Amino acid sequence: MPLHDVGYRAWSGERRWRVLRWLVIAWTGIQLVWRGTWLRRTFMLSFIPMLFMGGGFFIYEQSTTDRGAQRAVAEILSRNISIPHVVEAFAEDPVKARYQVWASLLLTYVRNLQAFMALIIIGIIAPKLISYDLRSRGFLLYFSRPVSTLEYILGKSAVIWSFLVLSITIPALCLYVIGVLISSELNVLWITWDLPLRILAASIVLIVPTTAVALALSSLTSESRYAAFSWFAFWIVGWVSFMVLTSDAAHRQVRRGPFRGRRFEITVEDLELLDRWTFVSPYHVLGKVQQWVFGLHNSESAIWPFVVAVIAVTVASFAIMYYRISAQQKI
Amino acid sequence: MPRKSRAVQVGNTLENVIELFQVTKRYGRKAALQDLSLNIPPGITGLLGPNGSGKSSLIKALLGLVRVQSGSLSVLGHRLPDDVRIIRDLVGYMPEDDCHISGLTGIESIHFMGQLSGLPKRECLRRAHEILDFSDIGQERYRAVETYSTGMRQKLKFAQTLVHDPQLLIFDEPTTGLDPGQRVAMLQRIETLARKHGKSILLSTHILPDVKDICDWIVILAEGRVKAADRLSNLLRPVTPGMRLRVLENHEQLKLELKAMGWDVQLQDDGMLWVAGVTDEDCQAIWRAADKTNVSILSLEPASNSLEQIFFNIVHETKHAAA
Repeated sequence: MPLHDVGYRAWSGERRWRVLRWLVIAWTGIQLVWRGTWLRRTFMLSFIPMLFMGGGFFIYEQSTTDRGAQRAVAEILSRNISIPHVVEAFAEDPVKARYQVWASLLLTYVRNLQAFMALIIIGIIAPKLISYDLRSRGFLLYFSRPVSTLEYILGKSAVIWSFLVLSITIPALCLYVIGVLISSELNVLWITWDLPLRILAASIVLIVPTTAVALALSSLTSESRYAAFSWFAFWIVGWVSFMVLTSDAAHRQVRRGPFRGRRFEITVEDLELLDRWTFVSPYHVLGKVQQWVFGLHNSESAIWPFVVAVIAVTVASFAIMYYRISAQQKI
Repeated sequence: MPRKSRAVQVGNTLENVIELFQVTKRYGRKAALQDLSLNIPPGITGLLGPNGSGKSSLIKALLGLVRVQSGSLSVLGHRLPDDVRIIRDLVGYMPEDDCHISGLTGIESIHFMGQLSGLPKRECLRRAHEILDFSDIGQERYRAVETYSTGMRQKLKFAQTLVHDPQLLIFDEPTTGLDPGQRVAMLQRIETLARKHGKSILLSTHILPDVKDICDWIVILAEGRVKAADRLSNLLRPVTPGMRLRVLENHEQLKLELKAMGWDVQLQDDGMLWVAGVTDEDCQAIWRAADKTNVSILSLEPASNSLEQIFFNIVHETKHAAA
C-alpha cells in the first residue's frame, strides 16, 4: 500500500463546462500522436517549403525594380499551366500584378507543397485515431461519460486540424506577413487585405475534407494499417489516373513548344480535357477549389461541380463516421 | 400513483436511485427488454440473469447508450434521454468488456477519464493518483495500459469508474479475471464504497457467491422481464422455516428420533439433514435427540434457500414457459 494512500475520498469541486469536453479528447489525442517520431520529423520537415516560398516573395518584390529578377519570376510562373492569365498580367506590369502573383505564390504553397505534406501528416496521424478505439473497445469508456458522438468526432478531428493549421495555415499567413514586410509599396495592405482570409478559406478546403475522409477510413477498420493503406491509395490512384488520362494534353503542349514568353501554350480543348478528368483525382479537385478560393480559377469552366464534389465527399465521410461510431455504442 | 403501483418495488421505504416504467427495447424483432418496470433503491443491488436476459441492454439504456422504444427511465431523479449528460456525470460505469484507451499509461488513462467528466486538470491528476491507490495499482500506473495483465486492466476499469466521484456505480462483471485474493479485495472495495461512502451500486454478474457476499437487493432478469426483485434476505428465507444439521455418523438413528418427535426430516444432496418447522427455540430438543441417539452434531444452522437454486429455478421456468 502506498505511503500516501488516503483511501477513497469524496470530491465536491466545480466541474468544467460540458460543451468543451471535446477539447479534452483533442488535447489528449495531440499529446498521444506527438509521441510518434515519424510525425515529429515530418512535421518539422513541413516548415522547410516556407523558406523557399519566402524566397519567392523576395524575388517577386525584387522584380518590381530589377529586370533580371523579372525574367526569373516569369520563368517560375510559366511552369504552372493552370494560371496562364497571371503570367500575362505579370508580363504586362509586374507591379500591378502583385495581388495575382502573391495569390499564385500562396496557392502554390498551399496546394503544391503543403498539400503533399498534409497528406503525409494525416496518413501518419489519422488511421490510428478511431481504429485504435475500435480495437481496444474504448468507445464504452468515452460514451459512458457526458460525450456525444459529434463531440467525439469533433475531438478526433481537432487533433488533425491542429497539426494541419500549424503546418499549413500559420506558415501561409507568415508568408503573407513576410510579403508585406519586404514589399516596397506602402499600399500593399490595402491591395492584398483579403489574402489572409483566402488563406483561411483555402486551408479549410484542404483540411476539413481530408480529415473527414481519413477519419471515415479509420472508423471502418480496427486495423490502422488498412486505414493508412486506403488513405494513401485514395490519393495516389486518383493522381496517377489523372496523369495518365490527361497525358494527351501534356504531349500536345510539348509539341507546340514555347509561346509568347511562356514555356507552353494551353488551348481551350486541353483545359476541357483536364477539367473532364479532374474528378478522378481528389487531389486535383481540391486544387481546383483552392484555385477558385484564391481568385485564380480559369473562368472558362464552371467551378460548382468541384465545390459540390468536395462538399459531398466531406458530408458522406462524416455520415459514415457517425454511423460507425454510433453503431459501436449499441453492441 | 399508477406508475409506481405497477412497477416491481424492490424497496418500499427508500427513495429509488433507478426507476423504470414499462420499458421496451427491441433489436429488430428480438425484444431485449419487454415492458420492464422496476425500482431500485440505494444500497448494493445484484443484477442477475442468464446470457441474453437483457442485463447489458438495461445498463446501456440507463446510460443512454441505446434508446428504448417505449417506457420511461429515470436515474438519480433525472429522466432519460433528456438529462443523459447529467446522468453520465453522476454515474460511474465499469464495462464487462476488456476496454482501454490505447497508447496511454494507467495514470494518463484515469486522468483523461476524469477530465472527460469535467474535473479540472490538476485536481483530476491528484484524484487519479488517489483512486489508483485505492484500486491497488502501484507503480504499474506509469506503464502503458496495453502491457497490463487482465487483472490489472480490471482494476484500471474499476478506477476509471470512481475518478469523478459518481453517486451511482454500475459494475458489469467486476471480478472477472481476478485471482481469489484480488476478487475478495475487489468485493471489499465495492462494499466499502456502499457502506462507508453511501454509494449506490448496481452489480451485474454471473458469479452468485459475489452477489451473496455483498448485495442487499437482488433483481433477476430473464428474457427481458423481471423474474424476481427483492431483498436478498427475503429471497433466501425459505417458505417453511427449518434447521440444517451436519452429523458425524449414523444420521439414520437421529433422523428416526426426530421424526418420532413429530418433525419432517429429509436428507439433502449435500449430506445434511433438513428438519422442517423447527425454530431457534426447538434447538435444545434437537441436541437432546442427538444425545439420546449418541450422534455427534458438527453444525446446526437455520435453513435458507440457495441463491443458485433460486436462479436455476427461474431460468428453468423461463425456458420451460418459452418451450
